Amino acid sequence: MISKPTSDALLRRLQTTTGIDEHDVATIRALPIDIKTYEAGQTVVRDGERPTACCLLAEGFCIRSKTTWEGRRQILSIHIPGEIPDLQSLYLQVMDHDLVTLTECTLGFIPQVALKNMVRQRPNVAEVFWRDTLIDAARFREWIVNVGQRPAASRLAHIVVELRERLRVIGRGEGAQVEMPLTQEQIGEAMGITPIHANRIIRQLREDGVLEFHRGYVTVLNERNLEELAHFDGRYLHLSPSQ
Amino acid sequence: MPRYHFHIRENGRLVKDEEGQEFHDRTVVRKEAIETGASIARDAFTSGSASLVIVDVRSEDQTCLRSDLPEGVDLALGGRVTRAFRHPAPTRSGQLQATEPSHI
Repeated sequence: MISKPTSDALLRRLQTTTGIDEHDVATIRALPIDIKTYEAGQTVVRDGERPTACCLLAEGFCIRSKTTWEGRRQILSIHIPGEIPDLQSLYLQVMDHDLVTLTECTLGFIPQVALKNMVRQRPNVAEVFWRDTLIDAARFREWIVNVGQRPAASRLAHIVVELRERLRVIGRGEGAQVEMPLTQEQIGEAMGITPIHANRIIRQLREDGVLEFHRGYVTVLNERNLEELAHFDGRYLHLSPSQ
Repeated sequence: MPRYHFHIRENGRLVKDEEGQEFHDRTVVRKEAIETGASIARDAFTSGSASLVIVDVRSEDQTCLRSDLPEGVDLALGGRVTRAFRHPAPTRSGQLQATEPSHI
């Protein structure tokens, strides 16, 4: 049984993006879950492993990443509370990337057996999760465009705006501050640039009056400047059931 | 592990790397300098914010490591220019060129 605080962000997101009724909520909350606490920087599931449970991020921030043969790490996605970053492992048995905590995290492990049973018995909920993984894929497409095509300053601005949009869905993105617990090095790994270049961009964004980075969060200095730089079009987040 | 500082100069503007990073391998330092220079240059040249990008790498003790590096690599530590890219003049070929080493 998933407690209210543990399921709150997940249910809020699914409610906003897909629309779920009280039966769906009851079905999801009836799932068995094993809560564990992780420190920052711990690998939850490793590339090549065969997990038997999917992990619901109840509190904290995680990343999915892949490391090249040379040891260079590319951050693929940033995850916020309410997300199930390794839901794909329900049907893709062997992990093809790492799931790593960015901050101290409370993670809820839901046995895959229970999730599979739920999917078979409740097609409605299956569709909800299916849509959720499709939105996950849409975010990856945008991530590729971002890393491949946008200049570095716009790239970082875009990441911040997307994160804020997603945090808003779970009631955490209001005000001028956006939670973003990435170090300069991790920002570089997310953007595909060296930490020195990341530092250069962070400085530039502050000097240009766009964003100011602090430990764990970012302050929006000027909304208009941010919009002009990020050119953010949130369609790919599919935030309403009709989108 | 020795610590290295990557100071960046774009045209006349110098951004010092106070913190620095540790590297166990000097060939990795060289690679990091080239990648940093190339990606900063890409942004600066396309936006027109600068026409010269220099990555000046110095080790903590300011030692010049040039002789320790593989043949043909123009990375020098201790005040020499490590890698520089000049935005080609419109009339010239479209390649990035390394500039003559200079002092910061």
